Amino acid sequence: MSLSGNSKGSRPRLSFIIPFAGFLVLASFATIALLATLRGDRDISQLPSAMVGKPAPAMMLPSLLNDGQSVSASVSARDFAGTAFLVNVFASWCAPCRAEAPALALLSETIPIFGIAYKDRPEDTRRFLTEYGNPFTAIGIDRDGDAGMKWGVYGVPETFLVDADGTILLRHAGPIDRRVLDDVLLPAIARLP
Amino acid sequence: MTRHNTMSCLFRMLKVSLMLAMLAVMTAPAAVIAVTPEEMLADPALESRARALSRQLRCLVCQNQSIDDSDAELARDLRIEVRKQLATGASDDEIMATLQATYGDYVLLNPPVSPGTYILWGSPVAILLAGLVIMLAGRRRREEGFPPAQDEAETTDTASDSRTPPADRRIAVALGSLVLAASLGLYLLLGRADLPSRPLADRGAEIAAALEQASQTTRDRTSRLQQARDQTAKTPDDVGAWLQLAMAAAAADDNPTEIMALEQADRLTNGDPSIRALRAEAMARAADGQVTIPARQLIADILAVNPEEPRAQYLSGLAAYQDEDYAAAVSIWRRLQSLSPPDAPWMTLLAENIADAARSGGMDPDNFAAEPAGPDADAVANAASMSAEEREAMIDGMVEGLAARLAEAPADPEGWRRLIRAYQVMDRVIDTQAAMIGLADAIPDDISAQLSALEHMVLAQLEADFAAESKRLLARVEDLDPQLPQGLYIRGHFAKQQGDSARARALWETLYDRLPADAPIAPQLRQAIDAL
Repeated sequence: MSLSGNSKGSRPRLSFIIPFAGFLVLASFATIALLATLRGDRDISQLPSAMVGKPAPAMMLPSLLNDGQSVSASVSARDFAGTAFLVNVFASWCAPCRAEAPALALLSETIPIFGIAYKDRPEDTRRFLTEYGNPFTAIGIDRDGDAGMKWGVYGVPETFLVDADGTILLRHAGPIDRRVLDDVLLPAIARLP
Repeated sequence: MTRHNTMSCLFRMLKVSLMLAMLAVMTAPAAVIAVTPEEMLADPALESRARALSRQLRCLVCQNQSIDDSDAELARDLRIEVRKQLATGASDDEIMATLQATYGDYVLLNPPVSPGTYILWGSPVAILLAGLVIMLAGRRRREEGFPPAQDEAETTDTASDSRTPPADRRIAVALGSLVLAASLGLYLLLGRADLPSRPLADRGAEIAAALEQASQTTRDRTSRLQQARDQTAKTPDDVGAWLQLAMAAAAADDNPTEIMALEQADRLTNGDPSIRALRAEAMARAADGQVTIPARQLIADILAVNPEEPRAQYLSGLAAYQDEDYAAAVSIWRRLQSLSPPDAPWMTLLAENIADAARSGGMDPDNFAAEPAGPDADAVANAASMSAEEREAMIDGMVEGLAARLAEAPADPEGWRRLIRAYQVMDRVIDTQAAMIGLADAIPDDISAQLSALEHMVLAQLEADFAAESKRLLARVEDLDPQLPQGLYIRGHFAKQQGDSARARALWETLYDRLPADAPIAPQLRQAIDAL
């Protein structure tokens, strides 16, 4: 082609290069996300929580006393007003809850933990606590999962960090493993005022 | 909350056409059964609103099903929650709003238009507009920028250009088709357009059938087990009947019966190696896959009679693997591999195990044939050439080896458990006691390990021989759960042993108070307290 023809030819070329480049950018984002998911770096089961930034539900629950024997009075997240605390939704029938028992024991040394025994029979909860230890400051019995629904729980275990004003700062769905403990929970607790 | 804009209208139209397509796909007539009977609302109008809402809500566990489709526990809870709120007179929008507030936008199957989803909803429009602009611009340029005269001049320049499109256009078409083909390929690879919506309500019969089948299977297993049991009672000398019983028991997960039946078969056949190997395998299965010392003894016996018995070889490799003697495990399993027919059912598992053992032992997976076998493995493999005494000595050696290893590295609860079982079989009471204390020390936070060691001490009357250890274990029991009934009893017993009647009395009184009045041991405990 002649030099004069070249300048004319470059204009239609640009008109399809722009959309194609746009498409390439979109496609590479999609590919990166897809590959991360397939490799397991990106966990699509971790849903964004709507509860972060909202006040902790103050539903009253029958309390499983810490002597592990009797059921008495009631307990709610409001009992913790004035201090930051963790809420751990757990159940004796949930295998990952066993796995996170050591992590909770460790956390219980730095911050009070309010346990919500989700859809569990009190006698099973007690057995679970004798077997795997009791890191909880107080335990509420959520027999039919109503409290779980108020907290937006969609599977146990789930852990929430609530500040002294009763606002939910953080939510973690799934067991607390070493990585979650070191990279998510402990730093968040350290950032508390 | 209502979103009446063009996009959602478009979306709805798309859904209607999809629904029509699905109706064509679904051939089976939909049975009208409630989602599940206890969930259903009495008022048909409310119920149909509940169903309509359920179809718009995502099951957060299954994520790509609506709660109307899903039989997950959470979906059921949400369906009930929707109905509860409907019953209190809440409007559809209010219900969606409360659920959205707790579970987030994600609970809505139709993503709402919000700053977070502007790109999602806007990009199709933007891309469409961009395309239109480019097309129009291109046309105008052709009309203005390329006057016909010049166009003709160009075509006369190169004759070939008049017939073939310009290179630019050809590249564009090629790239466009490439993109289309790639997206189609990716979609066919990952997408499932063929899956219709399957509301749970329509699957009542299907779910009931699956449950029925599961319980039928259990019933079948139990009845087969019973039949096999009756058969062995009728013909106790028939090896086949015992083997049938063992198979039925294995299917019903009844380990003790399986082992008992195999013992009988073993006895009737005077130790047939393959039956004995089944027995060893059942023993390992009963011990959560651990090749226990009694099982190892059996394996050594089998290999003495038939050094090529595949199951025994496999188990002896597994035993070496569990002792972390990976070189031996690899060499035993490699030998089994070379002796087995290439289409033997265990070959795949075997290859995986060999690779795993090689990796765990830090061996080069292609080169490990050269690795020397460990002494244990050699011993087991050579058991064929041994006399009964020699074999017994070898088993003793294995037990001593385990004990020595645990003395050096005591943080191995599984090892201690194996040692305890071995000593129990060998009737070595004092060694059993020491091993139980070893286990209790290895898992100091496990109250039941502390208690079983102490109980064994009481039953074997070894309190005086293990005074220091018992003190340590008792302190742990007290720390772990000061109120546990067994703990109170044992602590009282040891206090009494040491002549501290006051403390024993206090502990047992506490226990007595905590016992229900009709507890069978209450009167005995009372007597014991009074005797103090």
